[in-house]
Amino acid sequence: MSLPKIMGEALRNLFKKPSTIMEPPDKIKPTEDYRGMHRVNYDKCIGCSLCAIECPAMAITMVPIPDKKKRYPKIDYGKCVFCYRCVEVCPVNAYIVSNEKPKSNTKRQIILHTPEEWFSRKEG
Amino acid sequence: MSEGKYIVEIPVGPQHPALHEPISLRIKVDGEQVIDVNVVAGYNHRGVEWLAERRTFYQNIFLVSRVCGICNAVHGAAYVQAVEDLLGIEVPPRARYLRTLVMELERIHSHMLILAVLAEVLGFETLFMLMMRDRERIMYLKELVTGNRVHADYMFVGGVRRDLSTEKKDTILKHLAYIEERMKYYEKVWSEDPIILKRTQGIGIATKSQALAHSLVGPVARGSNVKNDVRFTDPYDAYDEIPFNIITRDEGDTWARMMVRIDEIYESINMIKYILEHLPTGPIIPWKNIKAAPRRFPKGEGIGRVEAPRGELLYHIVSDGGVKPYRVKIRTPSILNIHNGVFMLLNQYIADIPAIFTSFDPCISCAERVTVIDKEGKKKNIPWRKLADVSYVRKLFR
Amino acid sequence: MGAPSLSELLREFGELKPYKRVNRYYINIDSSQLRSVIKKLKEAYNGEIYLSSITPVDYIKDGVIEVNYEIQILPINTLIVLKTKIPRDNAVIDSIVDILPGAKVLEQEAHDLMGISFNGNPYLRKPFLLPEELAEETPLRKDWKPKTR
Repeated sequence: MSLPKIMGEALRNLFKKPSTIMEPPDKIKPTEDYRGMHRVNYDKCIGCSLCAIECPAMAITMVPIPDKKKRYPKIDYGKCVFCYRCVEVCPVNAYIVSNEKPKSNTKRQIILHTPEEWFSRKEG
Repeated sequence: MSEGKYIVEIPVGPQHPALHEPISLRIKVDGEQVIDVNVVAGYNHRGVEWLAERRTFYQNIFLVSRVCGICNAVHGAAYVQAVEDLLGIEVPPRARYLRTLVMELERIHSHMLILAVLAEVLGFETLFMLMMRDRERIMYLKELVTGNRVHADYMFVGGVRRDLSTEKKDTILKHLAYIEERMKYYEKVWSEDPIILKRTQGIGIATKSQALAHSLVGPVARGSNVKNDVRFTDPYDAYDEIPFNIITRDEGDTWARMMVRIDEIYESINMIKYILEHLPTGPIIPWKNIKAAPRRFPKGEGIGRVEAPRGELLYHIVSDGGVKPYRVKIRTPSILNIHNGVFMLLNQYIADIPAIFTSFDPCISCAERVTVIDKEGKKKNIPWRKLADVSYVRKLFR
Repeated sequence: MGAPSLSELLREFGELKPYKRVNRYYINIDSSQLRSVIKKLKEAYNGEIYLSSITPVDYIKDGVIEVNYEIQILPINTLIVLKTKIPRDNAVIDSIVDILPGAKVLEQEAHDLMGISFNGNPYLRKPFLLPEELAEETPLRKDWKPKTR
């Protein structure tokens, strides 16, 4: 009869700590090569638009910058599915990867960095 | 059987508290026995086949993985197998073994999920919680190998996208040994607990000829002694080199279907141990690097078949020589099991419907309203008290 | 018991051709011969066959819809694809739901999404998978355009 066995385990679990982890997600440690937030290194980017063409969720748009001749990618993290196809297909490896978990947000369109900020920060 | 003059139609669905598919079953009952079932589906229809004709072959790999959350690796593998059939290229041996590894991990966690969900539907919440807690280790292993707990995004045309380093092998083996110990305990609970046996044995029987004629696939058919497993009959990836057994049972009821899944978990654990021991060395894609994959695909067609945890999954791709496919046809196993399997619900009691329906591996929900159809065809609503008069339990106590 | 006996069995209907992978074959037959082919296969292998999929493909340039019936024959581990062509303007074909009841949901889906009528299937209805607003439309045909809001 296994009914008493389940009861034994259930009673023992009363005195152990819970198996679930509460928010915030800082307590959950992702593995080292978890597919987390990625960013563009605009110094290396050559503006070939392959990442925008290949993105399955169409989350990358190429925006023109004043003073520069090329267009640079802008990522909408609300549409991004973190498949890392852009990281894989970039011919100059201009994407910086990390294992940081994306944070919850209430907006639909989430733009966290733009090319203008990158270039104005470097020059300023 | 029925002294009342009413046939009652009960809608069961479309929302479910615990699992994925929203579906509606319109059941006609006489007393408490089911006479007829009408399945109304389409709540989750997203038009993936139409979308796939408007995206390139490589964007489609990620689109079709999102048809299902639980078996996303096998959808990717079937699509990629169809594209490789179209191109006529060979997959390197290391990539074949790695694909098999991820697909078997998926099989283990999907079977643990449906076992836990059936226990919850029967009311055994403790078993549900314990099995889900142990299933979290498999999700951790998936994150270790592929980079994400749920959506693996691991398959690519001609191979896989990531390699497996040797330090990870020991972690995988350690966690699998723990899972195997726990599965032996759960197998004892499933085969000896009197409440589970009373509620699942002898319920929802399908004979072998019925299972073949109605095109049932997966553990639902294998529980009725049909030896149909795509890994055996049409081997792909590394399945022709790994020794394993095909699991069948001949009772044909709900209990047999769940025991087939438990035995398949043991087989998957043994297969993963064999893979990690005999992993060949070499490249993981057939080209120089992943950016050299072809953009245009020749004219033709390709068929990809894999064994998903729920049954046989088939992809049929037609290409007309461009960068986008001309037609992508997805035939999932659940559509056959749910719609063609309703014959197993006839002549059973209303209380057995959740157990039978969950054993197909989709799910069902709570009843909403009751409409009565008179035998002459007129409809009216009757209050609960009068409804209880025709109930089976009331008759027992009269 | 392999490809030779299967091609002899179906020689009167057409020629059996292999695919690139082993154990997969296809044959082009006429849409009126469909029921006799399936009955013959079912008798020859004792009912150990099952219908895996019905795949309609719309070739708008040729004016035909090609309907592929994919059948798995268990005793010889073979997948055979029966290819039939029906005209686009009059997409009607016989139903096989009385020989193989597993065709019920596959024919329902083809009827809903591609607009093919199967003679003799009492379960066909529109809409089956589509929402109520699209009840009159057949989205998978190549000349269908979604309405923009």
